[in-house]
Amino acid sequence: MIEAPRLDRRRFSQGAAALAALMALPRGAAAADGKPVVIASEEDVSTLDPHLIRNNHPIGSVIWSVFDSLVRRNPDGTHEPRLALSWEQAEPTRWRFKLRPNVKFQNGEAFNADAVVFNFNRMNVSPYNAESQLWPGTNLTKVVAVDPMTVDLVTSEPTINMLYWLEEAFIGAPKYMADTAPDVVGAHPIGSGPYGFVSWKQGDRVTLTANPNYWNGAPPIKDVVFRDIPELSSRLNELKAGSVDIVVGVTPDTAAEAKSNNSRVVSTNGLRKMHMGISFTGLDVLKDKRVRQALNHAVDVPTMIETLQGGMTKPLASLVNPPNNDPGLKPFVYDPDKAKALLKEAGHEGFELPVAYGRYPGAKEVSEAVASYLEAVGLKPKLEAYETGRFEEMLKQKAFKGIYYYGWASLINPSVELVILTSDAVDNSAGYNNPDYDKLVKTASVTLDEPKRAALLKQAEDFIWDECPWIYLWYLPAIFGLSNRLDYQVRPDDYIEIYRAKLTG
Amino acid sequence: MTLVIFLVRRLAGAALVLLGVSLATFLVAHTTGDPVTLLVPANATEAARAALRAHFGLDQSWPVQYGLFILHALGGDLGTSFVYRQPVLDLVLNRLGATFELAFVAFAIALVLGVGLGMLAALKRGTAVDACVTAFTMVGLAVPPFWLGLILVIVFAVRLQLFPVSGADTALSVVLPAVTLSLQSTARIARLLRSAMIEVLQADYMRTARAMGLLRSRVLWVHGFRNALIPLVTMAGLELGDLISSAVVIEAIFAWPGIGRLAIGAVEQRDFPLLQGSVLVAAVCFITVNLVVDWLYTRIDPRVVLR
Repeated sequence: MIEAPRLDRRRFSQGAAALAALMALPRGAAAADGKPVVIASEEDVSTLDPHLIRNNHPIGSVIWSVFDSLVRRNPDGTHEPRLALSWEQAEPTRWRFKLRPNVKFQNGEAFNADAVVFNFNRMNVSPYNAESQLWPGTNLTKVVAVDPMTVDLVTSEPTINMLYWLEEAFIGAPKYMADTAPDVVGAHPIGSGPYGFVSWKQGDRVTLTANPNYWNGAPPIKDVVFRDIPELSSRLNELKAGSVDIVVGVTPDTAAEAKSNNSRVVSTNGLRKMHMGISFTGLDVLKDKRVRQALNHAVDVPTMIETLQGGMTKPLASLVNPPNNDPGLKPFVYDPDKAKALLKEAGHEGFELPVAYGRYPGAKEVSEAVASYLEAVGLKPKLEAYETGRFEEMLKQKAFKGIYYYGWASLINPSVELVILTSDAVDNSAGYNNPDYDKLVKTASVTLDEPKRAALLKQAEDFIWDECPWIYLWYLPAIFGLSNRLDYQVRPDDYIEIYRAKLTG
Repeated sequence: MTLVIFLVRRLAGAALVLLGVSLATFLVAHTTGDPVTLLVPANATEAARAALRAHFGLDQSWPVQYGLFILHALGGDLGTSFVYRQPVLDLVLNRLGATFELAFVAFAIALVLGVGLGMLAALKRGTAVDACVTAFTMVGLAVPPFWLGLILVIVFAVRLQLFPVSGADTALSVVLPAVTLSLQSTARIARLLRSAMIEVLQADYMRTARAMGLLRSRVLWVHGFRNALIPLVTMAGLELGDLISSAVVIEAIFAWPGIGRLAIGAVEQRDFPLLQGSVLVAAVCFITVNLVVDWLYTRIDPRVVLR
């Protein structure tokens, strides 16, 4: 539902007295305790269809509030039962889920196995299957309602990452979705989550209210507003003025501004792995491992973190995110002499190297810094700027010739993280191709025995780290401004779980 | 009768302009590349991508796509946004209201302040008042609106808390963005009116009017101002168009849910239907403003004939 009338014009005509009274009462001040919690983000919510989630925040954050999935990902990567009570891998290719009884959708429809079947099947048809990853991610072939409270997920191959993909397989009210035009479903979501949808004023705000019938009890904060405020300085001003409670997307150089009488700044390392991807389909010299290792020794990552990232993050120490990473792996040491020696040993000195950058805040500064470090070891870096869409296409076509500034997603699952560098992964933008590595990752992905799989994954993790498919940089710091009235633990993966927040005092 | 002929002629012209605009937008949009790439996750399968392209009708040839767009547009259907999955017309009209509100409030401020200051400066020509107005218009033209916007926010929203920082929540929300947006127009209108009025004040008919012993205010407003109006109306028409387009920057600073941000997003995300729709609606607005301006000439100056 999109609100139509917005302004009350009569207020203007009621004369100076009314205007003065209005001025004395800033928005929402009328009900100090009932004041909604406001979350401000750079990006707009485009659609609230649960099967068209395009980003963790803000769309994902709203969807997570209104909908539930069978399981939810905890900030440490473990799984919490939601609409599923328990699960087992009954056979290598069959997962069985026991569902939570007595759950109702916000429109009164009952949650049961048929609802799961309906939603999962919807994710497998166009246009939803292009954006929903459940089926290709899990090799799912069939969803079966065994009884009203049991669902079987049948896959073509043994799947180890079923829970991972189910985290974002949201379940909406089936009858409502079936009987309603798609544009209405996307504008007026109905799920079974902790919050119910109230209204959406496009380009401005989505308003939610606590679901009193939530199976886990209504969340502590009653009214929540997700606002779209594209300018960071405006978001920070709102925070200082006390009219916003969570500012998403604070940058290292503006972090100090999030501190005020009303607010504080909070940060975590983040999970997005920033790096310079090294092309394996471009310059031949880059196919030499010694050259790639030289590039890693040439760049002073700790100093760049201090100067460009405000010291608010750590150097990458693995392609696998914590807490699943091998603690034995250490970041490459900044050693320009070693870099020069490696380049000399490989017989590739002084070559010209394109350094491409596109998206991400600060991409230009980072690329320039990397280029100057590479220049210092005798290479001839050439900076190239790309428009966002073009950059995406270059990635997809594996068309970069040199190195490119990129960030790999906020995942907490070693096998999903490692699979992107296998030769047939569609998003292997570097075109890295190593049959030994492919074999390790593939074997791991069908090994159901946990310790055995962990050993294989560790082997793959260590192998790829030494291979240097990237110039390893850092975890993109996740920095937030929080109002002092809010008690909330931020997550490293961008999601705002507002149902876990409380008001202080 | 002349008005009817005028309207028919101009509407026929307008239709041609709209056709040209839509074709240009269509071609420019489609040369940017594949929208599906930007929409789906990197690991989406090729089959799913192809199905989505077909869903959007992007699998058809350009002439067919354009023909269908025009055909549907004639029936009032501007298609469905790739990104929002909502009817484009709804999206655009929803946001157009906010942009109009901002632009019109700014326009009103610019007209009232600009005319007032311009008249004042012309009447007090060569005095300190004139110098002050001239200085104000210089500063007004020189100050970048986004900078002014930030300063106004810090002073009036963060420090004094008189107005909201951003958004379109209450009746007060429009004040800061509209003031920010109006400054340059105010300055331009004031300068124009000052010089136009100075010219008019020296005209023979003004001397005659004064010699006839008419009231000073009548001489000024009926004989003087009316003659200075012609350049002002031309300028004001341009200003209104300009305000709508500069609203884009202001909308971003003040998180104002207007059409500018919608259109920019459509460009960035290659949302062809939304882009075509917003450009088309913007073109309709400009054509309408020009039409109204032309008609206004005849009301102000009987010598002007509509053709």
